Amino acid sequence: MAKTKKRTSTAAKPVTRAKARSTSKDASSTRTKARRDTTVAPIVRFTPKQWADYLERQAQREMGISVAEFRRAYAAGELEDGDVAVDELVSVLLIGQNGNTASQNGNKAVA
Amino acid sequence: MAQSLARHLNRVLNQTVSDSHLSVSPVTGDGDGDTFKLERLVARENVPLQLRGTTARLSVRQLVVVKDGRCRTKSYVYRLQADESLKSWLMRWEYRRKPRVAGYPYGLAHMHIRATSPDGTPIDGHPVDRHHIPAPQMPLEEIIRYLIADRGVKSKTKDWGAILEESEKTFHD
Repeated sequence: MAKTKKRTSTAAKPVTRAKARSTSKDASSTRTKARRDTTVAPIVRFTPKQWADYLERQAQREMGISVAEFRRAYAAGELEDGDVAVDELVSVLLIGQNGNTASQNGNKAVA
Repeated sequence: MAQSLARHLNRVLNQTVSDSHLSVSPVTGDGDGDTFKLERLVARENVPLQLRGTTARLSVRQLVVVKDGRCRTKSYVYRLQADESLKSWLMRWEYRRKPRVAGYPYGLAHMHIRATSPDGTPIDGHPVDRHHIPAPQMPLEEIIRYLIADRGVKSKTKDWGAILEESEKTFHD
């Protein structure tokens, strides 16, 4: 009886570890919690610099321009609202939300 | 509160169409309350959710504000993509509580479809995919239902209908 119990317990370990590894890819800041429960939503905080870098990367990746240039062009009505890349950047920059106007950034991520 | 909502949505996603999960990022507010962004982040980059049984992806970005113990959606973008790239988008559902700019002419809740007119020409001067097609405010559960019922995404369980129904009962405005 004791033997069976021991086998069960050692056999279970690799499965648990493999499961934990498969979830560790997302949001590393609360990796330990995510290993216990994949449905836990990790809180990811950005420093102001990380946030600014993130926005610049997004603008370059989706439109090939800087955040400042995007804001200027959007405020001037030079960009088509239904374009997926424009939509994406408006969403990322939170334009029209949280005090943001198209030409002005009124909010930051909480560090 | 926002984390509870994200956890709830993760549970629904992980029980049905995806093993990926949403993270929560705090964003400073404008007096409305505490604002949080729900999206999948990998190495601090927004990445669409993987879907079971297909190479298609679902990008989710939801902005919620917590006030008086309640979670309210300020905006969302749900985007079905053929793969990881933005350019491969197929359908988009978008909502925002406030217009982007003064005089914004489109419905605050609308969708875009990657479609063409029968002869491939623009309709009323715009490519069809640029049209802001009116749509009701959409819970994520309805997107999941569409993915399973119409788009060949495999659910983990046969009980997906009941899971989505139960979850929608708790859908916040």
